[in-house]
Amino acid sequence: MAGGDPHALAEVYDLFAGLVNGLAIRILRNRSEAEDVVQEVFVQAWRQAGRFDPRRGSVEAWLCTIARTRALDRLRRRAARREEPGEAAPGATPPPRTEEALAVRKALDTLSGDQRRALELAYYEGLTQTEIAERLGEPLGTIKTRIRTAMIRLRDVLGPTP
Amino acid sequence: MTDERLLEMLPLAALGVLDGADRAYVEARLPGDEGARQELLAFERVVARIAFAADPVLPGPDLRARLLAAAGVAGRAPAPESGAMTPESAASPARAGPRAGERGRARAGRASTLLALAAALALAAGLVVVRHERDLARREAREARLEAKTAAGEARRAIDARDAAHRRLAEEEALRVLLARPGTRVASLAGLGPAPDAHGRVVWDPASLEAVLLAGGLASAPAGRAYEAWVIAEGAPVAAGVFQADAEGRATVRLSAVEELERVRTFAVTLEPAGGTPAPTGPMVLAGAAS
Repeated sequence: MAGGDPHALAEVYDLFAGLVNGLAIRILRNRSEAEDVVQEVFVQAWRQAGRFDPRRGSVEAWLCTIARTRALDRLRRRAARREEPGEAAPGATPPPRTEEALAVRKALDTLSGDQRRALELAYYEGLTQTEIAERLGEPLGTIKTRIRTAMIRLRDVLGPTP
Repeated sequence: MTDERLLEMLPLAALGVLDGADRAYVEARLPGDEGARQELLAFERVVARIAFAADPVLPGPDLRARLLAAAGVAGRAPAPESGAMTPESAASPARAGPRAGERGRARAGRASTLLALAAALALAAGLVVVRHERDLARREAREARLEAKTAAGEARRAIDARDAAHRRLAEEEALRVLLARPGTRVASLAGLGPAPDAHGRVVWDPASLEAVLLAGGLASAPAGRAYEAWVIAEGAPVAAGVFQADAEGRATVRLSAVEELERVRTFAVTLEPAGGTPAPTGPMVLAGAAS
């Protein structure tokens, strides 16, 4: 396979498999499917290591972006087949462990309930603005404003990428 | 001119929620607007960071083995400091300790390095060339230093040879002048105990107190030792010069002007410490009576 160092793959996996898996579980609400996504993410990262650009963000952010895209693809395919998640969703959310995770959660906590709900429907369920408006029964313009305001708020609170 | 509508849509575009006409608008305008692309990139970084809010959950061990086997990596146990958490540890934040944030940063830094390295493998051929050129330059520098050292050594040897030649010429000139004087006398010296093959002559002028020793058949003096000439009159021997034999066992030495030359009875050479001594202490290697 071209591009990556297998030992680098092992190191990166040990560092971030939990993070990627946690995100995939959050989106798919299915551990088995989430592990499939994790495998796909690391294989893709290994094969396309040359595409990683530190200027665009951290390694873990890059891996999570790949994971989110793949998990949302699965979610949409599942929705098209009208399937339900195979197992129960994870239980209560424990506090995060890293400073970065704490910072993101604190930033999310600064959003209003409506803003956060709209944002989470977009991020974890991959809904479009129109779908979110339909789901929440709100005007499209309201949803757009809500999401825009939430994103600007997050950018201001989080600051530059560490 | 700033496209306000485009700018308003960028946070939504980064999150991937645009559809219909809004999405088409952004896709059409974005390529020609560098400022908007930078703005979009900033919002995409924000979106990427939202992932960190999810709780880490370690996948089953089978997945790691499967993945690494597919990649051809021998199965290694993950390091104890692995950032991947078990469900148990994720549920017990107290176990993480106060240094969890520091570990997180360290992990991120290390992973950046690892991935950068992995990416750099694609440039391996280029690196080989660079390393080869670097090694070549180092080797050339090393050889240049060696050549300079060799040249310096040769120069030093040449200077020593020149100085020796100058000394020899001066001594031969002194000898020539000495031989031309009417009162000059010559004494023969014979090798003694430790130097049976040694031989020598002293040419001296009692009037001017000038004298030259011509010696041959001498072995190289041992390390830290040198030959020393003596003028012996009625009293104790008087030191007249310290010298070394050349590679052929020869020496031409202008002896010190000592008053004893007026009444000299014997010339002698002994083996002494390299700096010479005021009175003979070592074995006598040459001796001869002044006639």
